[in-house]
Amino acid sequence: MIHYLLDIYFRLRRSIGKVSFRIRLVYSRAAGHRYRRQYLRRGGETIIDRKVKKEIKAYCRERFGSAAYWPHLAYFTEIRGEFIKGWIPHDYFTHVLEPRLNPAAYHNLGDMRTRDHRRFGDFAIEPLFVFISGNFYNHDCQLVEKGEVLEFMARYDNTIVQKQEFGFGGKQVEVMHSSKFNPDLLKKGINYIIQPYIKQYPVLSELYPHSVNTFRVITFLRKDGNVELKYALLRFGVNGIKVDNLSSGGQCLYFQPDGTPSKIGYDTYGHQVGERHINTGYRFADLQIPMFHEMTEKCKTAHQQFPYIRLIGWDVCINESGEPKLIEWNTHRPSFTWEDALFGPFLADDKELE
Amino acid sequence: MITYLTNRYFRFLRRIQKIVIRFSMVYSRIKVRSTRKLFVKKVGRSVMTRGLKRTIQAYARERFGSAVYWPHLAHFTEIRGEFIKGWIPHEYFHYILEPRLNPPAYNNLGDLRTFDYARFGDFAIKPLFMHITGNYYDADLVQVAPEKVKAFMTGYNDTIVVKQEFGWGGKQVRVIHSSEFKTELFERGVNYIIQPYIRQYKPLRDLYPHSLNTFRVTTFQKKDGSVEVLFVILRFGVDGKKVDNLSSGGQCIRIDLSGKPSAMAYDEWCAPAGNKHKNTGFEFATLELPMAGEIFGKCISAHRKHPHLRLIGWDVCLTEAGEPKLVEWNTHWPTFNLEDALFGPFLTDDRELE
Repeated sequence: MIHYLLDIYFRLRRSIGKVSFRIRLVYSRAAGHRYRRQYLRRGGETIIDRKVKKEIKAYCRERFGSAAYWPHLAYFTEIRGEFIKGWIPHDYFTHVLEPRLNPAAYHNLGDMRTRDHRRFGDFAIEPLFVFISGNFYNHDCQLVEKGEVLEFMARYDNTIVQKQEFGFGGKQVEVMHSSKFNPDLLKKGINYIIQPYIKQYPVLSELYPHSVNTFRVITFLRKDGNVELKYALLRFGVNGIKVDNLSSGGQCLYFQPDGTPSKIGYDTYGHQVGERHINTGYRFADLQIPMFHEMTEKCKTAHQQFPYIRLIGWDVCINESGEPKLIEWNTHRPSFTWEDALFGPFLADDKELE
Repeated sequence: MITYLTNRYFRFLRRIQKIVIRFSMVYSRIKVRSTRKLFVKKVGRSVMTRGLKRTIQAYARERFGSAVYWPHLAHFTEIRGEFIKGWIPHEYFHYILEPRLNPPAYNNLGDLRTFDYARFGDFAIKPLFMHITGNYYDADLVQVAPEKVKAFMTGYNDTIVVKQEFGWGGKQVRVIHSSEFKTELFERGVNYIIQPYIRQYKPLRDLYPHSLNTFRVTTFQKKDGSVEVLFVILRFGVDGKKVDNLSSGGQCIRIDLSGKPSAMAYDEWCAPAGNKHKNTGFEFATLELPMAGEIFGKCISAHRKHPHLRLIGWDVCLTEAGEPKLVEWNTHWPTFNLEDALFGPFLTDDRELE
């Protein structure tokens, strides 16, 4: 009886999952249309005509099995100024490709932030403390009494960052003075990581001083086991915001694999935002990051330790002394949308995606 | 619109999940009644009386909020020969307590077996190779060419163990000669660990030579962060079986915290199975384990590195030289209840379970 009911339950779940999957695809395609309209409304000139649309649809049909994937590619075509074969439409990436590249059984590895320093050693920011299952531990996972933590915080007299494990998009992160730290405010059943506040590399502060401006480095594990750099973006805040996340209103620059920044900045939709920072006037092309290569190599080495996941987004900051430090790594849906359109295609070879 | 639908979908799923859990709990209670009857028939005695049933129901009501939890406790009472306050009924442990002690976000940590050597170092069996995302890696996660693996296997000329990641209960494990090894053994999309075959400690081989006889050491992290061993059993095969798991027909003896074995063995029903092995005639009480303290110490140290989980079941074997080696660690539903009935109660303090 119970097996029969369980069987029905799992079948029902699968059916609902399939319907939900279809709805998400449809919704995502509607978003593709919306982004395209927004782009055109901002003064962009359309280059999609019947012929290009037909070409895009034929490409979708051939590569993804259905012409229905065309809306995101049409948007990509508008922002790039031409259609390029090899792009992956956002809906296909999110709902079909990424779950294959980063299997569900492994993709929460990156969310366990309290383990990052043990995993990556000095590449990760050494936490002051981690708070796990209701107790404080130091970076070596040694138990620390609550009183010792409070004593340390009183003595530390500096800014600290308190992050929730499984936080997302810069949310659940609090920046405060160490004297304001109150262990009783930590939520029951949630683990936390408490880090020193990073004072960033001077040129990144000059670019925009109110947020820690981080690189998003995307690495890809090829079928032969080698890890390659797909692309790197530098994200920064604007208009007084304290975070650099694009989803929170930040902007970004693209970096060539040799460390040269793009002349133009971009917003969360991939729209161009000019050659200078809107508030500081910093000219993007002047930005020099001598440790860019060191940073990407560190990301590649770190990826080699986790061959379970094929596409990883590494959030790296550069500290005051120019050392790349890992803030977090994204093993579930690392951003991969208009970056592919503007600077890709990055995943053009289907044999690599099997 | 999509957010609304997604919310509705997840609420619907949660509601169905709750119903399924309720059903499963009811089913578990119904099933244990027949298990109890079979147990009584097998041992030829029953200690349950009306008065005792009332006592059990009162205990269940007081501690777990409902008298409906009595059937498993009645089963425990039959097994033990008396009712002891402090036991945790199976369905309560399975569906309510364990998800609280080992949160779902972390409870698959133990299933990532290809990562065990990197986590635990020499306490884990050093793998010969691992097959992850279609490539071979050595124990240090350095990639190895398939030709080298093939050449190694040809020269190795010994028995090897090939295990699937996420395998369960001794299933998905193959013991083969290295010359039989071929890549075709691997299923696509599944990761594997290839280990040397462990030749076990002589007294354990004398006990029963056809299975690798392993200790299940269950450790518990208390609220103050300290880790203690709750109980230890040694499992062994019988009647020509190649595995020691109780669920596959194996038997067990208890090892107390000083390393002394119980005189009596128990079968998968928890019924007494004599004081000598039924096939080899090995007298259980004569088993000497001078390394018992080392086994427990290693499990405690390993648990301390994973404070995200509060209850872990460690499967440990002893090599020919008497060295404890971790076979696997169970972070999701480690066996608890029958051991609790036979040798417990182990979790009597509700303040520790919050």
